[in-house]
Amino acid sequence: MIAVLNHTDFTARYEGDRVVLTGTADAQIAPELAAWLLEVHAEGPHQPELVVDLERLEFMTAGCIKGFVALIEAIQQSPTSYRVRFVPNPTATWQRRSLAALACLASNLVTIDN
Amino acid sequence: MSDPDVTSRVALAAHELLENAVKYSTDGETNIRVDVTPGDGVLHVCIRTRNKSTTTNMALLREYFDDMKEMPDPLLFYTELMAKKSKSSEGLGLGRIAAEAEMALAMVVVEGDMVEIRATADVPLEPSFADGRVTVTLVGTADVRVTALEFMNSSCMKTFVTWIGLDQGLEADKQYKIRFRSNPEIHWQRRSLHALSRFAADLVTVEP
Repeated sequence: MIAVLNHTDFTARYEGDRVVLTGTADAQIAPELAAWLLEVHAEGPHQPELVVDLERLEFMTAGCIKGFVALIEAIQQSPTSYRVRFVPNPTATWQRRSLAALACLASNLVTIDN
Repeated sequence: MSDPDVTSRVALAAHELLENAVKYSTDGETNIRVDVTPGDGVLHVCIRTRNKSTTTNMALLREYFDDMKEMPDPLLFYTELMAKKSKSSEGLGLGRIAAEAEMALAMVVVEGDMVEIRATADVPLEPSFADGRVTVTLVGTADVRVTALEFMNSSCMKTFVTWIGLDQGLEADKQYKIRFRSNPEIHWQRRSLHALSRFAADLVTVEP
């Protein structure tokens, strides 16, 4: 059981191979979010995929994106690999750009819903 | 600015710049200024932040900007920063502005220990694209000869990243090798193509 991560107007919730992020993830929450994502990873095996729902995420700072980079690195080093499928908010155009850059790191592990 | 993509880029840049300025300000004070000036068919957008900084941080910032200039493509620079093994996210915000917000960055020492970071872009008055999709059809072998290619911008580079990703996504027996034949005299090619090859070292090779 992984506790909900709460900070000012940001929430990260894990429910059965689905991560739901809500609000604004700023630099202050970045170290905690990175550690929390690694906890989610350890909860695995997340077969065949871990879904990351960003539909209610208003903004995420670069420091928090680094947390997802750490998650991808952990998956790459793990004996049981799985995909991370992002569900973006189509009206938040920054998400499309940020996720495309993230996918460059591991296009075989990262998928982005249309 | 009616194009939501443009406003999103400006918001992203303003957020990252401000966060950086607050983080590195030595006296807790930070200024941000956003100018949008109409030009000939475009809007000149300029976001500036000012804060007092330590000499050590100014030297690191200069080094950072030198490194960024060395890399001709902002996306490659940004992905290299992301891929660094360090847990620190230093410099990631500026790299993100260049790569995702597609804004040019500059550093100016205004006076003494006051440093100004500027992010600028000229954006069209009308939306520049409908859905951001680019379709490229590649025919023939996966032998990519770029020996006479003088420059490639980041959008074209992204297309190659996508192509490599599609190749990686194929079943192992259907994957094919991609070989870039580069020109060693064109400096940007070495850095950019080697950065590209790191996305899939087993599939992509670069030959001088």
